[in-house]
Amino acid sequence: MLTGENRYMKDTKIMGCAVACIVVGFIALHATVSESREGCVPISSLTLVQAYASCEGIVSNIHRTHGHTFVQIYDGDFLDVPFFNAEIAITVGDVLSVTGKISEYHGRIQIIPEKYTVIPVTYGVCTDTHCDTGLSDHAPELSPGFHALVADAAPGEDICKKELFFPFIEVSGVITSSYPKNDSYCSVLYSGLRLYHEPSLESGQITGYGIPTDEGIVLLWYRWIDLEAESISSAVTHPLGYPVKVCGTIISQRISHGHIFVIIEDATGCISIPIFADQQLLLGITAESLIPGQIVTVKGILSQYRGTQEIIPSVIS
Amino acid sequence: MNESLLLIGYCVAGCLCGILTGLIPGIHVNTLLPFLLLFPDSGIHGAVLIFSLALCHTYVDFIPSTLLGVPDADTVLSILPGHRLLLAGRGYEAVKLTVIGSFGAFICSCIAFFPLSLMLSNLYWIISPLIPFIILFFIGYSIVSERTGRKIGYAIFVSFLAGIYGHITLSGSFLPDDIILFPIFGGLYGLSTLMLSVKTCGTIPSQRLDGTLQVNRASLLCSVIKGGIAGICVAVFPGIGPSHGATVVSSRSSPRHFLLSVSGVNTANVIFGLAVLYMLGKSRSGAILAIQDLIHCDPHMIKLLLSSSCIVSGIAVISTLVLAQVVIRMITRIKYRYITLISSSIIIFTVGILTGITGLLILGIGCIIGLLPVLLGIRRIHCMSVLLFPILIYYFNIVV
Repeated sequence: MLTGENRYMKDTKIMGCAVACIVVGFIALHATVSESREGCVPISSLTLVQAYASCEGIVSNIHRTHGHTFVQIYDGDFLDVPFFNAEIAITVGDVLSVTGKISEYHGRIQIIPEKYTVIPVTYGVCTDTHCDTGLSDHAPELSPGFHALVADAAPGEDICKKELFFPFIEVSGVITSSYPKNDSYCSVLYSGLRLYHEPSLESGQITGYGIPTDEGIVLLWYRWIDLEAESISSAVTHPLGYPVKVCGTIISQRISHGHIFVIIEDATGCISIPIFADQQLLLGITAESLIPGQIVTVKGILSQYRGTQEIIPSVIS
Repeated sequence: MNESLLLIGYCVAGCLCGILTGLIPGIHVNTLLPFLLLFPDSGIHGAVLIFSLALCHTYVDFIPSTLLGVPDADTVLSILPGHRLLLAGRGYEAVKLTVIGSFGAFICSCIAFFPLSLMLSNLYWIISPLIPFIILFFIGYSIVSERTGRKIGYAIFVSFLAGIYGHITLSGSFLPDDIILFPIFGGLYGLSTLMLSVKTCGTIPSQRLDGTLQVNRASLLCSVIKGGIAGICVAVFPGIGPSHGATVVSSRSSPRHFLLSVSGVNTANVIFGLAVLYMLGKSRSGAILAIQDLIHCDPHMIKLLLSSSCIVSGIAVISTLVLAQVVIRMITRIKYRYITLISSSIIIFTVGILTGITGLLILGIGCIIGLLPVLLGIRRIHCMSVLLFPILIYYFNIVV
């Protein structure tokens, strides 16, 4: 026996509150979803598949192929951002802000961009008196050290709008060799560390800041100083494989199987300079251009052949 | 808009699952989690689905406990007051009180969410060491409030017995952690209540579905806030379950106020579970743990889940009230003796299926202990020592 049958909607107040709650929830949910495309999340938090997210990071690698642009960004972790059928005006070191769907490709998280912004960044090292960005001196109010600035590009009046704080790495060492790699160059330090940069660099002292990758460090800012010329007796004291620069007079020259063997001498000693056939074109050297009595400056790697030290040249001038 | 609609779809799906787990005795939110994680195509969707399920469950699971006397760990204390109201022809009011309690606690939790979240870590470190003393005070207070010396003696005996029972069953590895409470509470409060009901009541009296509440607004608000505060404490402090929270806040309340407070504890617990995950990085329930595995808990995700919870709460309120009316119509057509038999069978059958002979043994012992307070003329809240004793042992690091 029931009392009050067919009075389901008697509880109008609480039902009304419930409906109002649903409406408020829907509005809040829609607003939050719309907002979600604006706020950036750390790359490390992206463990989802096919969820929307916004991320921001420094472009650490760009690979263009078949009309696609594959970009990798870094904010402490790496994220692949493939732009399919699109040529994007972007360079390593720019900041890419991207919103899109997260997916997985070959076990790696990637974000398929629906909206993106490329922000140029100025990198520089400040001292007490000036900030060396490689472009201009500015912003003396910045603290000494490395800075990554999203700044006005007008020379002389660059004002810091926003400073980026990503985990950058400081690097310094002596470049032993350098070679082209994809669209940039790779320099190998004496320590074995590989640095990726543009443009090409010769052997020399390098100090810089960059972001770490599996293969080495992508340089965002660097200062390169050429090797100091030293005496032959001093140069041979370096360990084998170390880059050296010496200046001396050619005392002999001979050709064997197309290779040119030169011995140079200074006041402290002499050393052999083998110029192999396949290197002659690269160095712009011919047998006729090296005449005994001529003074030359040789930059190269200290090496050894049958117990005798020699310099494998990378530059002869 | 598509993403919003998709999320609403997941809210509705979560609600449906919550209704399912709420209505079927013995099926806990954690039981469905492994299956749920197979369906969503992203972490956010999965989190919304699970959160919706957990929240909706806290509303609907009072229907079987209030109307059929079949409890789970979260609703165990609502059985007696709910049953009392059912037998007074106010079954629908009992369910409605739990709905208002849950909904009120939800609103309180949403309002307090961000301000309290900021204080959460400090609060946690300040209050955490005091928890065992609060529990100890509560046990002492509930025993002393029996007033006469003889009853105090009985209360000590029942508390001690329930505590030993709880320690043995919970510290031994008889059954998995997520299911052990079902036979314990099924025996202590479910089966024992039903056995007494068979003896005392022949038919279910006519039920009023007019939806009126015999509670004044001020006391209603006070009970709802008490439930909300208890739920927040349950979410923040480890080792405290919804039953403990409800026990502490409602030890001497009237049945109606009791239902209001108890129901709010679970809902506030679910909402503040999110705050604890966000601020302390800790998860206090299976659902929050699953959400933690799916998403990075940042302010945006919190806003998303809280927005979803508004939708879920609205749906849960409507569906619980409608379902309660349907169930009341069904049970009033059946003799109460049959209902108690059916309910008892559901408990025994479900415990048997889920936990086997061991579970049935635990159920039987729990039932005997659950009958003692009634036979000795004391309150059954002393049976809650089944959980309070193990917590004290945990906090005081007592080796037994």
